[in-house]
Amino acid sequence: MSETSVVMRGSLDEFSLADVLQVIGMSRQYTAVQLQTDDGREYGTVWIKAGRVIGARSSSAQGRHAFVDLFGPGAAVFVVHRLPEPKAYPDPLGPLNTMLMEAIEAATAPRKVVPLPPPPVKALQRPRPSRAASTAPPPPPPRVVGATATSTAQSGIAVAIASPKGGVGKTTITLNLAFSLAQRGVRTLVVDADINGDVMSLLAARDRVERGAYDILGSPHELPSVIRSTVIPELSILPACGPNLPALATARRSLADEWGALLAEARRMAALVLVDCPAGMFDVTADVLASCTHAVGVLQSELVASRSSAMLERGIAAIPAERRPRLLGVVVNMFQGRSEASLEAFHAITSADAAPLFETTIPRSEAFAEACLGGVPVRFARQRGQAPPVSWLFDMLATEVCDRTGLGGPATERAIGSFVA
Amino acid sequence: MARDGVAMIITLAQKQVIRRSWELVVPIADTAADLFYKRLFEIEPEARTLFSEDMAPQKKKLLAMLAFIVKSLDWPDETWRQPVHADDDLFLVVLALGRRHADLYHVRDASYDSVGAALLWTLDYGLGEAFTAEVRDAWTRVFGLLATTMKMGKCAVGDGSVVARPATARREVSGS
Repeated sequence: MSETSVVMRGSLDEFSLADVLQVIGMSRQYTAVQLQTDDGREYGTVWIKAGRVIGARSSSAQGRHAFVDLFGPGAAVFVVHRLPEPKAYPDPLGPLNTMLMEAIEAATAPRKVVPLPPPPVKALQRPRPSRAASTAPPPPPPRVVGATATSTAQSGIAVAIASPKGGVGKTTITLNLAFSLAQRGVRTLVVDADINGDVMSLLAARDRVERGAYDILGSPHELPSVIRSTVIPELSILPACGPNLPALATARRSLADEWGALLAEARRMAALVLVDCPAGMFDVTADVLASCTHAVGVLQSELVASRSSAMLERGIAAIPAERRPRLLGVVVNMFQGRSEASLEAFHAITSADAAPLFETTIPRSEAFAEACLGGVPVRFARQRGQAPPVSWLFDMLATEVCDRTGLGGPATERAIGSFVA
Repeated sequence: MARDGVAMIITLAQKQVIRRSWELVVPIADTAADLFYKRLFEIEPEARTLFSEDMAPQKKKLLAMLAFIVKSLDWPDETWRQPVHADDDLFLVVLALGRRHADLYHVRDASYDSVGAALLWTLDYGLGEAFTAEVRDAWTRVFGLLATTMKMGKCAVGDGSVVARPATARREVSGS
């Protein structure tokens, strides 16, 4: 096909924009959905190919924000154009399904009533957030930072890895996801906010840590001297703390401002900051969530964990709106296909009308224990002389995170470029 | 603006569910087609007048279209950039089908509910225990998407260069 042609034209009174986009998402043609006002003026356009949003434009924005804008009031008519195939496609903004759910959630958020859990007892002992914190401007929108971005003037994004229940594998997910993202070329910094079961213990390097995040809360300018590099050039780690337990690690007061300052500094040093939170959605986790641009939930495919899954969204909803991170999705971990209980929990999680799940599910595997024994990410563990298959799932998860955040470029194209050079 | 919802979103996992459950239908396809139309005419007797006395060709068309739908949903994710001929594009084919149903047969939007109910009943009857809640949900979503596309057929414009039946379905029908 060499020319643009109009395929369909209709009223948004008869078919909702979500319906039109879901239907177009089924097509493998390169398609533009143009929205017009009653008087024929263009309201916005979204470009779609094979279930991916290639681009979006509204009267005031381009990209992901424009896609959300299209769901506002004002559009009356949709016109669907079939476009010639370009010689090359730009990196998509994201999967249409995911962006649709996010846009509709954003469009309906003011009317949504989210029941909040009763405040935990500890919270009653904590001073109320300062006025400065409660009136702080919202975090800047996530920037699209390229895989090869090197400018420290640009600010990356911060993603909190959180779960309502302990022992679900947050640290394992954080470390191995960070590894895969770094392998894709995304400059990644792991920040350990969990002094109970920290990343450095997983890496069998706890005794080599002199200082960590809790030692420099309140003095974020010291961050560069505390970060530990790894054998992967694009991956570095900020440990939780040194050999002595810092006073702030046991402080019974809100550390939201301190975490905000530290993570703002961290975002200047990396395209992506992954924060491993302690178990539970309150206390330190709440402080970290309020300082992050995004969050990823981890749920174990096990009954108790699945029954506590609602607390994940409630915990995020309890963050003041102006500091609330966007929930990218939920990873189901430790799935056991041969266990009826695990299957039941998995079905309960996946059928719940809750946060969007990642397509990638991580199974329970001996490989993680072997990796822990060696103090390495699971990619370096060996099963029959090869990297365990489960390790490649983190590459898929990394792809999903990149799709949902707009981070990074296609790993294969980058690798081919390096190979030819 | 009509109310927004995402009830028709189909995940990769649900596409696999569709493919696997269809594989179970294939060996009993002729029986399934019989059951489908029997049930459809029970739910909506007036629909019988839309078809000729000999239902055999119609049943072949139904099965060919269902096979095309299942095949069209199942493509390797990494090939998303590849161009696809219009006659093999699920959206364009179903849109054209909806346009024909609106223009030629004056099918009412409400009739799609009857077709959906007959389809789910047939799958339930034909698959037995294999018709799990997961399978029902996946087919409900797929049918919802296809029915909405067909209803949008009345909004279709252009010269109708896309035929109402997919190329593969045409080959199967003409070769029979």
